[in-house]
Amino acid sequence: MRKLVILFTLICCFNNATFAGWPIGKGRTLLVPGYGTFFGNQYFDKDGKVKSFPYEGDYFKSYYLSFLFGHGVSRRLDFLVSIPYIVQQSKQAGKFIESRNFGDAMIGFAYSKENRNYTRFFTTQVSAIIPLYKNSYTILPVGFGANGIDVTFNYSQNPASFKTGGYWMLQTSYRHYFDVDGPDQFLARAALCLVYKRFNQIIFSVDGIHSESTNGSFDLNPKIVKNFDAVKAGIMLGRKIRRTVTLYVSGDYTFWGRNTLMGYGISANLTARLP
Amino acid sequence: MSLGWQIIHAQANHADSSADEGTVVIKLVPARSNSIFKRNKVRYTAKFFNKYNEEQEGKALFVVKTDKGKKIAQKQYAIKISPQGLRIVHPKFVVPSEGFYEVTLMLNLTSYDDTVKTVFGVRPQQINTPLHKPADFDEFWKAARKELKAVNPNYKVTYDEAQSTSTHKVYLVEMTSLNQARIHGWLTIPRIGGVYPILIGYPGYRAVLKPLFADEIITFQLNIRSGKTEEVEFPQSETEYLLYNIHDKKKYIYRGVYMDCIRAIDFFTDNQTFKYIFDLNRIAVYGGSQGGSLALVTSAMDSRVKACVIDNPVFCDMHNFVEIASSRKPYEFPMNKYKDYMSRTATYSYKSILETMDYYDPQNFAEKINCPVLLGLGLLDKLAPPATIFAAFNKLSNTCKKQSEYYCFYELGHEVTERHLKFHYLWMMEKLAHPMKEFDN
Repeated sequence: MRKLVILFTLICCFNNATFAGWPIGKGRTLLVPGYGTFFGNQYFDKDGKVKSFPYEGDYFKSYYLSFLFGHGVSRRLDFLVSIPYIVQQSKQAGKFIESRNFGDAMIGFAYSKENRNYTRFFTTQVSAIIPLYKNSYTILPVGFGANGIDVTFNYSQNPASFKTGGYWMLQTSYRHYFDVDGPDQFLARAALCLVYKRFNQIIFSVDGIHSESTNGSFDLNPKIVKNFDAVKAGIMLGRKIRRTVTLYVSGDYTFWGRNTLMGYGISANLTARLP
Repeated sequence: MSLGWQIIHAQANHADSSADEGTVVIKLVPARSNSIFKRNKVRYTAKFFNKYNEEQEGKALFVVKTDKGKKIAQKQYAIKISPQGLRIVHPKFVVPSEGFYEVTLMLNLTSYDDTVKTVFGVRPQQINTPLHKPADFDEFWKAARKELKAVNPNYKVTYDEAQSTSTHKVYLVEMTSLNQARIHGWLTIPRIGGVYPILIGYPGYRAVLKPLFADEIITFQLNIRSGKTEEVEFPQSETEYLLYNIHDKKKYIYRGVYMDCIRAIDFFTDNQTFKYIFDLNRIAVYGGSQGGSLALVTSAMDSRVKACVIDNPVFCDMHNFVEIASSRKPYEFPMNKYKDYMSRTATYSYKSILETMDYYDPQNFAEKINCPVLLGLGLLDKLAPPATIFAAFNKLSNTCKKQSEYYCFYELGHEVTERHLKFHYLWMMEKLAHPMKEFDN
């Protein structure tokens, strides 16, 4: 029977929501509101060593509300738009600063191709990244403030050996920001979903990002660091609560990096596929 | 009406080239992947893999016949294949008109003889056969529906703990249909809350349906009247279901069966217990073989149906079916049953059988269908010859056809591929997402 549609939200260091997976279904609509938070009070330096913030008690925290809208244009083609609203708080040298703003919107299309028996899917997604803010007026920017493009490839499979359902997935993305110093980003994800009693899921994931730029400066606001690496592991629990509505809660931890924050994130998402 | 997708074959005919030694492996592949051609010129590729350790020499004869057995073309090739070698030929044929044709390949070699049969179609969407619709057809069925409405359904819904699971509740639903026949079905409801579209399944011939478990829809698997309580008039000893009272169109068992199918829909619209979870604007019907015919007829008679999924529907275009089936000896089901009936009763002929069947032929209902139809069929099907199925499908209204689709499987008989079975669900959810509005035919 049809697999559940999963939203994977990349927050904090990775920016924005991406969705690459199975098609939504022609004429059907996907709505995904989400809420998440990230906290970090340590960072990885340029050599990958863990360092504490310069002043005791300093931290970086962000909260976001996100909304993703998707619509099945055809059996294989989906239209997707995601918009985050981000609240960032930082305590640096004892001084508290906060910013609130819409983040980087992503608008694009995803095209999925299935195998003979609908057990394997290959999806290509191309999205435009459009900042909904201007950095010149912000003390704690929520992003690079530059337009960009994201190309994502996703391969997923429902193995027959997963008797109760479930799947595994590999995803890779290339992202370029049209600014004098980019960056160019390469993202990768591996995920394993296990299903319990049909309507319950547990998803294990590992995400990595490599961001390259001629701008190697470091900031305790991870949203504006252009040259960094990060790897995080996450776990997500999903439970179908209505016919077309599934609730997901997740936690993740950035356990390795370079020039980026170390910290943990928690999020909750509701996916509704209508009608 | 196909999407133009590449139709996935269930399996290659014969084995691939890695078959055991001491044989000749044959691959006969049409130039069109689904074996449906747009023009009267048809081309095949025939590959012969010689797995012997000696040269094979002989001939390959291709014979093309209509679905009624009339030979219209043939081609012969001299074949010489070296040991463990390969020979390829590309036979081409020209057929006179739209329709379905059978290709028989007869291979005679030094150490190996074989016969392979396959079927191709030419512009099936243009197949147009006479309707044979009686003048009082509409009144006949209007009267039947009126009779059904007067029957108290006397619903009884019983929770079945043994078949229920941690994720689904299963109920036995019993109800009274035409002529006071008591029928039943299995209602399966996901335990997760919400308003659900409904899928009603109809059975194949003599099949008994069990509960069907789905996540985003409520399913109802109907078991039509058993026939055990039917008053079979002539001959009273009749044991074959499809012959029960076939001598009288008003008493023929399928009059009651078609009303059973309508009664199943009535259950949903009448039910008060589950009314808050039934999405009555999203009712789909489905079935294979006899079930396909029942789904087709129900869609035509009941505008509450918003999507129809059918595989290999039988009893379509019965006049043409009798001609096609008569050309094949020995007779297979149901022709053998009709033949036996005629010999036992002595007073009935194909003509009289068809006079009754004209009131039940799904093709005569087709123009009244108000919803999209998904059709799947195997081209090698002898029980439901593709020409008869298309005769019915092509009689859908233009509005209906625009939303409908068909998929042909040239290597299969009375079945469809596993992929197509999965596609049923995707297609149905797509069509139920935005149901067609009713229109006047």
